Amino acid sequence: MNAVIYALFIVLPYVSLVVLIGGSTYRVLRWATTPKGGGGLYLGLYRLVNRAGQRSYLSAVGHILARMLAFHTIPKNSYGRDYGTWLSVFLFHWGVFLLIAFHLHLWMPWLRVGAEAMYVMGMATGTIALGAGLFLLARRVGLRRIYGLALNALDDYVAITWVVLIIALGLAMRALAPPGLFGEAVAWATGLSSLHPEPPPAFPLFYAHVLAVELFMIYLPFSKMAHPFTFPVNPVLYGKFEDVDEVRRRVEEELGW
Amino acid sequence: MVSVRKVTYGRGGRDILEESPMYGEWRREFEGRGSVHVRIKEETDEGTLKAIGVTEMQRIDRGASPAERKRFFASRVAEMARENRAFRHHMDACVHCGLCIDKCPEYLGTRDPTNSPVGRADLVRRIYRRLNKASDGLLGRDVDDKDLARFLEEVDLDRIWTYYYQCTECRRCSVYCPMGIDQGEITRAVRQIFVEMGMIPEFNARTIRGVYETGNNMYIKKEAAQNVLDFVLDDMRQETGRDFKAAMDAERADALLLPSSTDFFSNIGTLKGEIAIMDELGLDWTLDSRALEVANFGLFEDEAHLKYIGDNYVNAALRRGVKMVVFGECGHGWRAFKNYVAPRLEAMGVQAISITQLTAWALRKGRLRVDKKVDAVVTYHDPCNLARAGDLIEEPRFVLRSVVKELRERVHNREKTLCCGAGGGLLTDELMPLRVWAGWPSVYDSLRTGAQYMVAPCSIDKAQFPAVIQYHKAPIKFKGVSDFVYAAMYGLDVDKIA
Repeated sequence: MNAVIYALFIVLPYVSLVVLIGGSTYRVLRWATTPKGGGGLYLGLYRLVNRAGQRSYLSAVGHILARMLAFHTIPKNSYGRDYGTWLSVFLFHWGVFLLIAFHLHLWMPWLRVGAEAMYVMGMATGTIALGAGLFLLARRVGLRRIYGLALNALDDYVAITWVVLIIALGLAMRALAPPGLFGEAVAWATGLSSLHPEPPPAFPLFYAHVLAVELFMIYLPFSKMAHPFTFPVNPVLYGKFEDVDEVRRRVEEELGW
Repeated sequence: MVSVRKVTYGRGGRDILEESPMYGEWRREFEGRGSVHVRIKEETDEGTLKAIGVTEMQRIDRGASPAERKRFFASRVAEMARENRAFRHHMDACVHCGLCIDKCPEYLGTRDPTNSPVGRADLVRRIYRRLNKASDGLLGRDVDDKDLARFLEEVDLDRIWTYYYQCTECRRCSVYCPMGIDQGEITRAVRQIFVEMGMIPEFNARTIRGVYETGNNMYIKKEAAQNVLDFVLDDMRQETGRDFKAAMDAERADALLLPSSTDFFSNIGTLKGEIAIMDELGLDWTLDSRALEVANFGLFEDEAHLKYIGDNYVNAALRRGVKMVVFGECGHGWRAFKNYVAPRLEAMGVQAISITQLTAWALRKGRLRVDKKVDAVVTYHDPCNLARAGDLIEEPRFVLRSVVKELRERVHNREKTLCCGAGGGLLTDELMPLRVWAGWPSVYDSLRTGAQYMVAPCSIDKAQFPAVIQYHKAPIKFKGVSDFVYAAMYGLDVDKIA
């Protein structure tokens, strides 16, 4: 293992992980510790929650999870139902969730999955995620044409392009992988987690894919990619209305009804 | 073609703007230039500014140089992000997906993309990002002075003022935004900063001054209110053959009714309904001449005025020693009431409810009797602040189903409701071109139901919709909810009671 390989694939993974976890925690803590304005009132209001009928913290959590996992607000009943955007957002996010889940296999070599099944599942999910990602990238480029508004900042292009690149590199690596790659990758991954580093598989596409992921992990907390962590600190989604039935009971008692 | 992407019901339909007979007017007003020319009047006289305490709240002189004023604005944006979690979240969480744009009633009415949630937010977000840098201040220091000065040259405060006073704070964006960003809250924060710069629209300043001087928006003095009340009670006696009691400033009572001050002018039918409901329920109730109002224009401007007007209601309840405050028909006022006043009253053991809740609960318990439903087909326009901020959605529907023959749901109902186009302090004449078009999507949505009446328990709606309906020559009438309750209880013609 030469020094460059050692730095990029043995040292950098730890750095990336620390930055990812530390940076995201820092962002969430910054949001959570920002006060609610003078006197704890958001510019004079005790509550900002918008979703009517939200009665408990549990229902708020359910609502937030539905937004994060089903993206149900996107095709919501308004003008020009945008099913194309919803479908690509859904497939892209779930593709990424599944691909991340599949990668956990690297640390679970005891989980027996047939080589062919692994290949088909990974390639199919990856291809769908890549297609959806490219659609979203095209949509972003076309946003100005759709709405006549220069909406995109550099970050907007970088984030989506980077994820698409990671998926493309992963697919190419998998398609062109030599037979022993998975075994070598498992050894490298478990080596990292057990703090007994093993050299990574010597395969250029593997290097490229992993490096792109490592850099992305560092980029994530400081960009718009931190968006999933913003949900629990949004006072508009996460809050509690008073129990109207309880108010009704009090009033009826007061009136002797 | 009104826009690159058409806004239609279903495939192949015409754009909703083209469905209006006034479409030609729209093209002359907005096509190719957006809505940046429709600017709310800011030139408020010193007397009014002084009367409502803006001169004391002001933190930078109106005569300061443009560069200094921009600097103040930018520094307050940074401060706001440090001290207001919602503002900080909304600045950080946007992913620029653009899904809010065609959900905004203001965009639908003008097709100016800057006049949309993300367009508006980015006017300020650009400043915020520049001040914080991408790293949230973690890497590198905050931006330095020279850099800031150069950047601020590009900032156009007048543009920000114009577009932030084209937002109705209806919060429709927060329902559709995948991240739940509420542009209404950003708008409130930015307007707070403008007030600190001594900038407040003339119309809203004068309205707030009314509360300072008389306790209501319309400058109604006690004698005038008593006159209207006597006249209305007399009218009701003639219509129904029954005596109604309505006390003004009773020494002590069980319940206090807060009516909208416009109920004493233009929405007499609503006032009659409210009086009839309180009286039929046999409540020992009163009005307070210093609180003949439900609106809270502080919600549109700044925290201090919101609290001042809110405290006026608390004081009225204490003055009359009541056990219950019944809030009349109002949309934005209910948001401020429920989220500022009600918790205070409840802490003192005073119940705080809306007239719509009271009516619905009474009807359900059989305490109000309706012998003959009004023979009309109505559709319900959910006022934004009831549906998205006030948790008052099913009660008005229950009331309407109990008192009219048929209630038809619109496509955009409940939390998806379309704004009337004049909320958030935009109910002024100089914004009329904007108002008639921002209100059109909701009127058109109602027209499609085929209903004869569009109904909403909201005073801004009652001022705005008749103007929109008349402008577009739409075959529909507009009424409040209590109007129908009154007409149904005594078998009256709803068109003749006001």
